[in-house]
Amino acid sequence: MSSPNVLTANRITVQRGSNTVLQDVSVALTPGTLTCVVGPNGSGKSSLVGALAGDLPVTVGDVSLAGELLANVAIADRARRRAVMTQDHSVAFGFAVYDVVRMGRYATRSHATDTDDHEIVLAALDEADIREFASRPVQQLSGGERARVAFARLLAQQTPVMLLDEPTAALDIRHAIELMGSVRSRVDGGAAALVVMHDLTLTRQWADEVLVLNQGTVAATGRPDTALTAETLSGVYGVAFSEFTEQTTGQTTLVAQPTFVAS
Amino acid sequence: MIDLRRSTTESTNELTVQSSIRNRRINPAVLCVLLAVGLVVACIANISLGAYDVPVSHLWSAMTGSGVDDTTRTVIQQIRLPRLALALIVGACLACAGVLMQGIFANPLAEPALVGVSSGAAVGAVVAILIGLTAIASWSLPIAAFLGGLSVTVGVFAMARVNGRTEVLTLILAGIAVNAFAGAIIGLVMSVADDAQLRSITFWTLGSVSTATWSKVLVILPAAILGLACTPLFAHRLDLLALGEQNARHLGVDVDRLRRQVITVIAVVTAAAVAVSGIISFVGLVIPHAIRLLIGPSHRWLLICSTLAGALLLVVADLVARTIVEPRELPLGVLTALIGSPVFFWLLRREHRRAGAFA
Repeated sequence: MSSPNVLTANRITVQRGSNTVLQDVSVALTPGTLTCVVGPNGSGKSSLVGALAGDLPVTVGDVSLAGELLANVAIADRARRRAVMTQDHSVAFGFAVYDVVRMGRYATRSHATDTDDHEIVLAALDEADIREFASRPVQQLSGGERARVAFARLLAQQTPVMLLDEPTAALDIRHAIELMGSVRSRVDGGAAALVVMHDLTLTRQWADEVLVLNQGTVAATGRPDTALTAETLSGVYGVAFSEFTEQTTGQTTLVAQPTFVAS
Repeated sequence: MIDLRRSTTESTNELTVQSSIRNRRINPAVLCVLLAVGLVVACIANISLGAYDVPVSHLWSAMTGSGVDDTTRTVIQQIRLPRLALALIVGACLACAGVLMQGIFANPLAEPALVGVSSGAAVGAVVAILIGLTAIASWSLPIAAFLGGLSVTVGVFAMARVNGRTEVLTLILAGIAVNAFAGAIIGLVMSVADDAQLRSITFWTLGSVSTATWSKVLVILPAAILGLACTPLFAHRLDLLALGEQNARHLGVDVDRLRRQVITVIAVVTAAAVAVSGIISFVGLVIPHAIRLLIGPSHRWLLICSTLAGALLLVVADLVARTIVEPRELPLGVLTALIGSPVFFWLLRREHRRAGAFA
């Protein structure tokens, strides 16, 4: 498992205006690894995605894509090597679901044929379970359905690196599990993924690595069972957590209690 | 791990997806042909009809200048044809600028006159007249209009964009502020202008193509053709901009470069139109919207069809403007505003409902 890191943030500090939103944060994405990022609102999760995507400039440290400084990689080239699902799933004008997913093929338009693109888009529509609305305008869909359209677009991009910012926030549990399953199968096929999550149960079930952020710094990192402990989480969220072990599987689950603790 | 995913065997026909998208709307190529045919008919009607009717059978000889009397020849060659040419160019430019603005703002309410680009161009033109730049060269007026339009486009863009999305409220407010400011500057210039200047300045507040001459056509033709010829290059990238600037960038679009290019072209084509016709509002709002309803939002065909439809609209509107109350004329800008403002109001209501509020 000594695969080269494909996307790394090396001790980065990110500022938005005069606020420091990330300080001295490092993360390395490797092929075959699904990394989840958790933390309270405003802890810097989206800023980390922004920095890794190249949207936010880093003031200290560096972000590199396959050994090359991200800032030096051309915008079109980035799109062929990493895909990003942001929290903004809205679409202006009446573009149909199919057309929006097909936009994921923009960067590779000169390398692939129309037929290939069409097949890839159809497969992505099936995988995100939105084929039945393929011809409907995205504007008419619900929040969760729009999120699945954005996810299908990311799949259609077919990149070795995937960054997803709270992809399951608007999804029902079944579609959330399906989405994590899709990400998992891409990761098992050699992709690297970083997924920002709020759901700690799903994180525990699907993550290979977890990064816990708190107030712009790394509070804990490692495998889910070592990084996500009741103690760490209580400290980060300021809420008491209890551990339950399931009889049949032996898996432990953390459940937040309606009790505040000093963080 | 148990696979929860449903079997996809139910979706047998691969091509139903695409065809169902197309079926709901008119085929863009068909619309294109219809518009082109309509445009030819409207042009013939425009040359033939008016205070001095010229039968269609005489049109060709009048244009070539053989076998007709001098009055007919002068009316056709020196009045009707340059006026038709201006209506075509102005309509095409305004509709095209409307599509580009709505595309770059990713908002159906952006329009050159509403957000103040036309007023900015008019201010540039008016100031050029006042300080006597027009005496230096015939192209100094369009250049001044271009600079005025460009600065307003850049300014409104900087104001109305928040995190890569256009805020409708800010866009409309920016338009109000810019139009009020431009109105004040034009008023100021009018109060110090002499009679001759005053007459040419008044022209900008009521849009019209009635002062058409061949020299005016020739001055703006290169800019209009150059601007319009660039637009197909933007079509694909403007589609992606509907996802927001950040998402478009993630998909490989160099948004900053696209924005610079599109804003320059908007300023060029709007300035070309405003420099010869004054402010004709709502063409850039109504045309792209109507075409989008007919063929869908994809910019490749939207740009071509809107350009044709804009030219068609102004040719018809100009014919109506100069024949409906013969022998007097309605200002063209008044006519387009009469049709355009209710459409704008309806659009505003719809956007309001969709967004819940203008926040």
